Amino acid sequence: MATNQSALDAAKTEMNFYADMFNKMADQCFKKCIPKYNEGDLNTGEMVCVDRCVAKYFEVTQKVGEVLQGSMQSGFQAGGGNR
Amino acid sequence: MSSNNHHHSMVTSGISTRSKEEIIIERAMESCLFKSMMSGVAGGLFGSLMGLVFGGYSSAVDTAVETQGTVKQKWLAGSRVAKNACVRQAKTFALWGTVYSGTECAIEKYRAKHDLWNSLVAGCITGGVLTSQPKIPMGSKARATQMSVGCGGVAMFSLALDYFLEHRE
Repeated sequence: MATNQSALDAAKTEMNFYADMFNKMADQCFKKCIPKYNEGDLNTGEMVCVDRCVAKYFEVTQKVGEVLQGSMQSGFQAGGGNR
Repeated sequence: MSSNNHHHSMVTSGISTRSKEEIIIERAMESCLFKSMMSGVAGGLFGSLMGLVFGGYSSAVDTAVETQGTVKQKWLAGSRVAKNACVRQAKTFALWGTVYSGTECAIEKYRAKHDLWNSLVAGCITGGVLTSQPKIPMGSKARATQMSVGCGGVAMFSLALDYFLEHRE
C-alpha cells in the first residue's frame, strides 16, 4: 500500500511537471512566433516557428534537468546534501 | 478571409486527439511540393483560359483561316491555332505557378517568418526562370539583362499582389 502511494505521488508530480511545462511552452512559443492576427489560420512560417520553438524548449528543459541533476548529485557527495 | 479550422479536434492540456491519418494528410497538404503542384495546376488552367481568350482572337487565327476553303476546314485550322496558343500560355503560367509557390514556401519555411520578403525573393526567382529561355538566341550578357528585368518585374508584381491581398491593415 505504501509503494502504491509513493508511485501515485511520483505520477502526480510528473503530471504536474508536464502540465506546467506545456502551459509555459505554449505561452512562450505563442509570444515568440505569432506577431500578427490578420487571419485565424497559422501560415507556413508560423507553423515552422512553433515546431522549432517546441523542439528547442524541450531540449532546453532536458539540458537544465541534466545540469541540475549533476549539481544535486555532486552536492550530495560533497556537502552531505546541505548547500 | 479566415476559415475556422474546426474540423480538427480540440487540444486540452497537451493531449491531441487527432487521428494519425488526419495528421499525416494535413502535413502532406502543407508540404511545399504539394503546394507547388496545386499552383502549377491552377496556373495551367488560368493559362489555358488566357490562351483561349487572347489567342483565339489573334491575327494568327485569321491568317490560318483565310487560306482554307470550306467552312469545316476553316474551323479546323482556326481551332488548331487557338489550341496551340492555349497550350503555350498554359505551360508558361503553370511554370510560373509551380516555381513561385515552391520557392515562396521553401523560403518561408527556412526563415520561419511570414512577411513580404518571401514573395519578393520568390517573385525574382520566378521571373528569372521564366525569362531564361528566350525564343531568339542572344548573347549571355543580353540574356542576363533580360533575366534581371524579368526578376524585377515579377518581383514587383508579386510584392504588390501579396501586399494588397494579405498585409493591408
